[in-house]
Amino acid sequence: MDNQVMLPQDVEKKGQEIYSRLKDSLEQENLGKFVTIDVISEVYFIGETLEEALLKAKEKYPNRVFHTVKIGSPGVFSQSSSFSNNGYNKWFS
Amino acid sequence: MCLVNQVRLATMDIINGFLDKNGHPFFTIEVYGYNSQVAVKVDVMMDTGFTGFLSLPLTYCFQSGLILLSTATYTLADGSSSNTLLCMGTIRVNNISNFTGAISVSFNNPMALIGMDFLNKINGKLMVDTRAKIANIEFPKTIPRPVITTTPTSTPKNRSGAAKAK
Repeated sequence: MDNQVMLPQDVEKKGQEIYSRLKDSLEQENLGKFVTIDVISEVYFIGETLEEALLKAKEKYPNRVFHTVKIGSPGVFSQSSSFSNNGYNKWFS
Repeated sequence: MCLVNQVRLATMDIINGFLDKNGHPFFTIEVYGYNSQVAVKVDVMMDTGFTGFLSLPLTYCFQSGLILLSTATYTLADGSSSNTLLCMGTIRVNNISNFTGAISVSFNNPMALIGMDFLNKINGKLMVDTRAKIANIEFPKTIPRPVITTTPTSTPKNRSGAAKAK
């Protein structure tokens, strides 16, 4: 089953739940790497770079949308501008 | 022109840009997703405080055919978090050089940003001249490597004498 019908915020919420369960073990050995999580199978893919993790996941599940985390960091990147994407939920709810 | 500069120009490429009225460096790039024929020209601001590859406003993402891959969270200057969508796409510069990376969809910012991940990927050197109001990114030319193919001289066979399936 593919998850194109899941709202992005639901993918993110489920992805965060799965990551919280894996957090301790992932941070022990993979701090600073990226993990892309398939929220349906709960299979995760680790990459040295963001692209590597994403492409590994896409190769396994080409039609799914994943959730990605930088292990040990609050975000996959940081931005100095004050523009947030909090309208994201407004677009998809 | 001395030999060192000649060699440097032969091996390096430059993205020429300018400084806007606020002193921010801007460059023109092309972005595409599933097919280079749908590439869209975008003026992007180089933001050294942005650690990602490219942040692109939503309408450009659709126009350039980006492929949606993931949700993610990122952090802002004030330490707060915000959410985004990540797509795989390619930045093309000077009509020749292509660099693929994870592009973040921007919902509330009309300005496209390129960040330090882009600069790292192209092995680039950012130069800003506030007197001339210009900015440049110098990076090594990407030379396409020749594809070497070898034709097998014989096809391996199993015990029955049938050819091994490739």
